Amino acid sequence: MAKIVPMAKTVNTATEIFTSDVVIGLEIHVQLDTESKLFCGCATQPTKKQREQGQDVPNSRTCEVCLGMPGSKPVFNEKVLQYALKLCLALNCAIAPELIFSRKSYFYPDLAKNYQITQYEKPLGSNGFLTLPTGKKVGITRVHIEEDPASLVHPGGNLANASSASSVLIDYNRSGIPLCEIVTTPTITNPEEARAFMNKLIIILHYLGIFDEKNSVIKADANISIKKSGYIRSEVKNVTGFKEIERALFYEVGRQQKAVDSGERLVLDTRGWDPNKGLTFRMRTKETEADYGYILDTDLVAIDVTQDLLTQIKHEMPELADAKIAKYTDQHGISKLDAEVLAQEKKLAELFEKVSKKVDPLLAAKWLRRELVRVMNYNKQTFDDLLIDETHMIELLDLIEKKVITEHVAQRLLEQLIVKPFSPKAYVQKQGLGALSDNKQIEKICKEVIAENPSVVQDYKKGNEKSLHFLIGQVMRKTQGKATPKEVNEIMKKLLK
Amino acid sequence: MADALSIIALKQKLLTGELDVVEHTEMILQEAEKLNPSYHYFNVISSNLARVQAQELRREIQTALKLKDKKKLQVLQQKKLLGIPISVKDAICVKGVESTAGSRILKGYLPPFNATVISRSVNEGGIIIGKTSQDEFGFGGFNVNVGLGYQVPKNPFDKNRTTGGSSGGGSGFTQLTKYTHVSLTESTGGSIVEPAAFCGVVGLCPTYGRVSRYGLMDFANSLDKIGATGKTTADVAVLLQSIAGFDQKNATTADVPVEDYSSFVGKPIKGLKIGVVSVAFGDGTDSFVAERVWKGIKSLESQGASYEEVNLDLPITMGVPTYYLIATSEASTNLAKYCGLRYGKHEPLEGSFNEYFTQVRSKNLGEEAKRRIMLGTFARMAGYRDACYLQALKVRTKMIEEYKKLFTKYDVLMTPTAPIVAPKFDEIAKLTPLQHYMIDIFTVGPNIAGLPHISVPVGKQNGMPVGALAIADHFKESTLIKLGGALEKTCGAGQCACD
Amino acid sequence: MPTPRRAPEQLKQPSTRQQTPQQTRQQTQTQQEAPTLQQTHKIIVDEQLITTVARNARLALTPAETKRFVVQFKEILDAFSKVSKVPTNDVALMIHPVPLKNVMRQDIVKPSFPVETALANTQHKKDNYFKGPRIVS
Repeated sequence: MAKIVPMAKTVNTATEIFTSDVVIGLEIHVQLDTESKLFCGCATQPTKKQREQGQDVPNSRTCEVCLGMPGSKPVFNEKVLQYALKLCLALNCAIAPELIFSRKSYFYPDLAKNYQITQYEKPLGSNGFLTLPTGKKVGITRVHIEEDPASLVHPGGNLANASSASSVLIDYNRSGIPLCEIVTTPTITNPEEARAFMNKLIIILHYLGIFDEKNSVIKADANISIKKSGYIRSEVKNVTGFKEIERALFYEVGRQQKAVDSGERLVLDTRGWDPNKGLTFRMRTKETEADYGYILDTDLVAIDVTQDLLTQIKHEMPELADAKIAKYTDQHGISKLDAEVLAQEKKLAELFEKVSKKVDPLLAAKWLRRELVRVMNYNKQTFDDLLIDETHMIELLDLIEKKVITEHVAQRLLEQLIVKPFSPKAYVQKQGLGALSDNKQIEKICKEVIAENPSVVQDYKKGNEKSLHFLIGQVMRKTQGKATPKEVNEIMKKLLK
Repeated sequence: MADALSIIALKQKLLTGELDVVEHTEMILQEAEKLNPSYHYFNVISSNLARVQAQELRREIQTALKLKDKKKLQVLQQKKLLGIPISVKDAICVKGVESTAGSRILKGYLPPFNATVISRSVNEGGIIIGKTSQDEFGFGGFNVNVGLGYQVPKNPFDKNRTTGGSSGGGSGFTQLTKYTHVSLTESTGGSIVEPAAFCGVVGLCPTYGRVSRYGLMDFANSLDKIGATGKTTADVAVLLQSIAGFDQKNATTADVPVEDYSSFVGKPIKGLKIGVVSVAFGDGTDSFVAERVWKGIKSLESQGASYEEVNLDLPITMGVPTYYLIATSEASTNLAKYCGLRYGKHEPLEGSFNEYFTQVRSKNLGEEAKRRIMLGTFARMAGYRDACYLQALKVRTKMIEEYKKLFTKYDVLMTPTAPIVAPKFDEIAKLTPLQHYMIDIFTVGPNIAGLPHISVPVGKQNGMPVGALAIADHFKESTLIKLGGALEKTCGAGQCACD
Repeated sequence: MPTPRRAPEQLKQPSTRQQTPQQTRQQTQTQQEAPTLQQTHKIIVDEQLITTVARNARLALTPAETKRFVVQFKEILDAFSKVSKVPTNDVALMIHPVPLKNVMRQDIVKPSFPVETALANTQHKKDNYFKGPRIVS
């Protein structure tokens, strides 16, 4: 029998005891990167072709279900459960034994049924945490699944101008997209910490592969209060993107502090964020008076979260960034900063792990995190576009390690490799790019350069260090970079004494 | 009623060429048009659709007959509802046909999709002749709570009396039509069997989850069931079999095999154990109703069934309030979508969204709809939710347990379908809303518990039909079909209503 | 078979199995006095409650309707309050009356409506968008 025992209501922040100067709690909505929507088969994204042709027509990815037409019924997308479970596990949550949905009733033009199907009685994940780089644990009250409302287009551009408009335009393409809502405990104590939290979260989402960074959206509501006011809370709603969330937090903390300093008494309020003007403004929102009147959604049936499913999901979980960072610093002696950069991008981390099996890890770390990223950025390539793989990098780094080529030559090779892959080893041999290791040869060329540039030599002897660099540069040019700058430097200095 | 051929009989005549499907369809359409001004059974008579369907079917039959295409004829033979006219309760969506659930707030709405029961019926050769009258969104037991601008349907035996509700139009027409016909009806608290009893026809409400609700405009999602109404149990069995079964589009359909319901008509009921709910035959039930139903039970006994009197507690004492608390809570959320956006009745886009929504809803919803929306909104408001909505859900569990205990000993439970025959309109007008709700006293129990139940005519009193209600355990529709057929043996299939 | 009783011709309140709250109260007086919904939850059915509920439901009632609803709600809620008397301490609530679980769909894209179909049932539209009433900020 599908029976449910309702659990006690979840955390009410009003009962917490605060001591820090600033108290922040976040409610983050992440769009999940499934093919189809949460309760119907409409596509969550336009096709690549449509996007290229600029053709995401409003209301072109809708059906009777996500339009809330009478008689339509929702059916749950199994992929969403898998993605949400991964997120719950990555955030160290306790997992509910059953997935059940409720209706949250309120009236708003973006809500196709004037209720949102969400989780109220028993969220999928609860009592988790996320550890910040400082070591501080931010509590996760709950992680649950719900549907996205439609998108509203306000004539005039944004919500701040909306009241002067006579109507609103509604696009239901977004209606029904699956969301995970993540609610933190109010234990974030400043906007920088919030930024660190969000950075961490985005890396987790990236590793889990459940969020489309290019095309999907993260929105957040934030609760902010300051000690000075006696912790009277403002809720800033519906801020899009982590950058804006951070901006809004900085602004709001400042606004509250200024208000209190000027003698104002703060009240519990709900505010919107204007990204153009860079300020929060008071709103009369859909929720200020609403009684959501939660009932179970009886068009849906309970889904068992079985041990088998959990085992399968755990098995599919990738090693997350934190574990990798620890591994790189402990096992390979990589610096924490380098390890963090490597771990930030999953494909980069995986590349590093493969390469460092064959080549000195420190060398690999330096070359991947600096050189590779540099040439990729120059060529506007992302890790999805990368044409080379670990075999190319291993070959290249091996040549450096064995001092067959100089780092200078290696850099130029990498610049070419990134555009069109080839075998570095074969190329070096063919082109005769081997490092000049014969010091006599270097000495000969140095003498040539000295002879060709008497005025520069005079400048150096007068004390101008820059002239030395010029002379070394000339040697490098003549040797086509095959000489090691360090050795040229030593020999040149010796000759010029 | 004796003129109308059964589904099976009509099908045979169509396949031999003795009767023409286009002609038959035309005749029933004309009859519907003729009856409607005085009886108001139809909100829409879908002549265009029906004619197109009939033409297509005739073409197939004639081609197969001309070419003596045995294979094709066999395929046609397999179609359970070949050429059968079907009327559809207005809340069930028919693509391209105005569907309003009897409410002005959906006036003009043309669904862009078919309900699953419609596609299944049409696949079986059925012909959709129209959308039948109902209480607005199913809110009523007398079909008097029709939406603003709609007409109240009249009882086929007495125009001063109600058809019963909320599937009033379908039940009334099923009685009056001279032609082969079945009706797709719907029940939340008793709206299939009660009008069936008041109109002297057979109504079967299946187990919750037996038939897909996809395309049914929701009243209460954990209580709504689509079922079948017909002149005989045999006809009802055919329709039920055509529509029952798991549906991918509706997660609350059960993955339980569909039996060959037709084969149970005429099966002997020897050994059938009947639990007669004695409290339903005492105070509060009119004596002649009780008498008629007892006669029916006795006739079953004479065919080999046995009965004992049983006690039914919570479903009778707590049925109505439990039902209304759950049903209105769900209904108030289901009706929130009707606000003048995307479909239905529009108003000029003036004011803020709250003002606009309020205006559209207040102007276009009838009083009973408003009352139930408000009751439901109240029952799930923070502070009242525990005592009302959540408590009702728990009482539901206890009711089901009570029924299950009885079904370990009995195959069916029986009561009168309603404590009275169809009342007069002027009597109904004197009732308070609470008294309206009480008409459901015997039917709310099986509806809350999702149990299948059937109403079969068992005679008349002063020209007004009386119905006997039989309730079986979950997914035991076949037992009800057996019982219906057995009752008809003594009353004569389809004859009782003509006494 | 129970003795048939003579029933009046007119319609009467269908079932006296449902006792009036008064009768129920008299009956239980000798045992313990079970509280009504109104008593346990301090529900005062007055115009303010009706107006609040109507507003939540986006319904505007006329003064006459409001007065009528106050009377009707009182009667209905009084009758319904006996539900709260049923002991349910260790009873689990059921989502559906039959056991139904674990129905899901695969993450496969199905065809959507053409835009024209989506917009076909409304007059309030513009440039492939639905047009709605203004938002108050």
